[in-house]
Amino acid sequence: MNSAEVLTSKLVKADTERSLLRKLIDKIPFAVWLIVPVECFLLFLLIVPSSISIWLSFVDWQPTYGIPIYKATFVGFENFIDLFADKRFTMALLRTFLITGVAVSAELLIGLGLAVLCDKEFPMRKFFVLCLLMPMMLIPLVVGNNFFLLFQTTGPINDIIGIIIGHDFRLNWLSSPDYAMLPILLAEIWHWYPLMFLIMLSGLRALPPNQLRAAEVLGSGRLQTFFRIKIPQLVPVILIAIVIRCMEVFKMFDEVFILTKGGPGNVTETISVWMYKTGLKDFRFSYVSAGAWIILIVCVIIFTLLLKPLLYKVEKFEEGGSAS
Amino acid sequence: MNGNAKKYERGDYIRLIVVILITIIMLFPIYWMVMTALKPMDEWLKYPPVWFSLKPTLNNFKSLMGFADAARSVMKEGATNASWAFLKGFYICTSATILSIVSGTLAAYSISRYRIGGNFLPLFILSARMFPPIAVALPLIVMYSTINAVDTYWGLIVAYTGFTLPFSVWMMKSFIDEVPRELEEAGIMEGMSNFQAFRKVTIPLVKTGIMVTTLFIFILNWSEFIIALTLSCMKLETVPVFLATLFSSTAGWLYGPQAALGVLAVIPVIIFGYMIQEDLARGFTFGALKR
Repeated sequence: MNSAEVLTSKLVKADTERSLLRKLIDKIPFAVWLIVPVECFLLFLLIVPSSISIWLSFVDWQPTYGIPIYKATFVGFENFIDLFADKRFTMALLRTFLITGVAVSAELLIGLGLAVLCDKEFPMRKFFVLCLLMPMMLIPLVVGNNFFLLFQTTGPINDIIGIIIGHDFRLNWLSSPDYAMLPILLAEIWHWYPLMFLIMLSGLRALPPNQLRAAEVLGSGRLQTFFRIKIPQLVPVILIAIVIRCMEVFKMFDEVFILTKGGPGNVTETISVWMYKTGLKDFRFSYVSAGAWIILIVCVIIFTLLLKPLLYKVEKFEEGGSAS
Repeated sequence: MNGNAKKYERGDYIRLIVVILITIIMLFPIYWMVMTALKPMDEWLKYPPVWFSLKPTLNNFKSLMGFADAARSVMKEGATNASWAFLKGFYICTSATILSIVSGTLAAYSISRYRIGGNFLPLFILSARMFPPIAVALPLIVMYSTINAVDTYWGLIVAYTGFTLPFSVWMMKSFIDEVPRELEEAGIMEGMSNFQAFRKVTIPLVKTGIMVTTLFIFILNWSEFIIALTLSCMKLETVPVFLATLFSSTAGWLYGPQAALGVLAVIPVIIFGYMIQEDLARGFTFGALKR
């Protein structure tokens, strides 16, 4: 009897609690409930670390000091001032911009060239397109490993060069200050030209054929058709591909880490490698946080400004394309 | 496919030859990796290099995965083997993928149908992909060490989930955008709740989209290196982290096992990649470019 009473009281309590929960669920709109998990992840992974990072960039703190992070001495903008005077940092930043520019333009040219080549039908076209896409399917670290094997002193690249110039050629590519950048650039380009190729190829093949035929009938040459009709229609697609590739190349780390670790000296250091080495090898957390904020603000502003119109414009462009 | 049906001109065969040459050059690094993985130890560094090994062996794979007996193993004694890295990596990547796809789909539905957060929220989610991950990884280590999450499975899984959310949200948004709104509205008219309309009408219609996004995100997680490198020290090893340990000076130069691990690590990615090959462009451009 007693236990039954307890049970009923529990049930009644559970019922009121449940209805409270119901009320809460009903009170907050359905759309907001849906984004709760994502918001939690963002809070945990972006907002909390960002606040820690802001604090770190204005104090002088290293894990090796042995004091808790909130007791660190406040130094104001000293970290930032030091950074702008730090040649290693500015050089790494410039180098990263340079790598991004070179790699993305090379990828664009190779991708566009191959797409034009594979646009028209030829025997086994589909098979070769799939073969040419293969590098994209690899893991960045494995790509680094591949080029590490290729560019060994006794590797096949040196052998081929030796055959071409007619005598023994043994250059240690990865530890030569003048040439160490080349394997890294080649690895990056080789890994990602297929994405450009894929995007360009699907863009070219989606062009409305009646327009091309009209141009042909009106007597435009092949080159003229290409530059006057095909390219202008591809521009939105090309732009979005370029911006997204720039975003990814700017973060380049894996290939450099495997191939040279930023060396010899600092001649192949990208900004990610700089952050890794200064932060996790020298433990200068505050200094790196300040650097990270500079990069973060620059990246987010540039890429948001570039991407926002593109992401919405391409949508419109595709809607317009399907309507016509 | 049916070559008899089409008539090719001479230009097409010239094009074919050019494409064959380019393909050979472009696939050479992959060929070299597979070849090195099959070479016995004395051929790893031979000069002139061995272009085609006449005595291929599986010893590299065996010693890498810990199946070879100690006498014939090329790995150092006491070295961990890659089998564990594969199991751990698979566990971490699968969990992170499921978390990312579930929360990403929910958010994508909210953004696509209710325009929640206007333009700001989608772009804010996207911004997680704009800067180098190491910039977040450093304060993350500080945070993780205060809550004892460094070198734990859940810590790495949560971090992976966060870094793939931009892709899952934007890709799923592009798939959900293609489903006409009227279907859900009809469901709600029939007496379904908002959530039922989402679960019973929208989800079945974007099933392929969910599959494609899942595979895509698994590929991203499987390839991820820098977060795993910074947030793990001893216990956790994903496959890329294990590959990096083979490069450390203490392990000596293990060209064969390195290449063998490369081959093994790449197999699932290549399979999944070709499965979703038609949607890869959509994935990498955050759903902006459809087929």
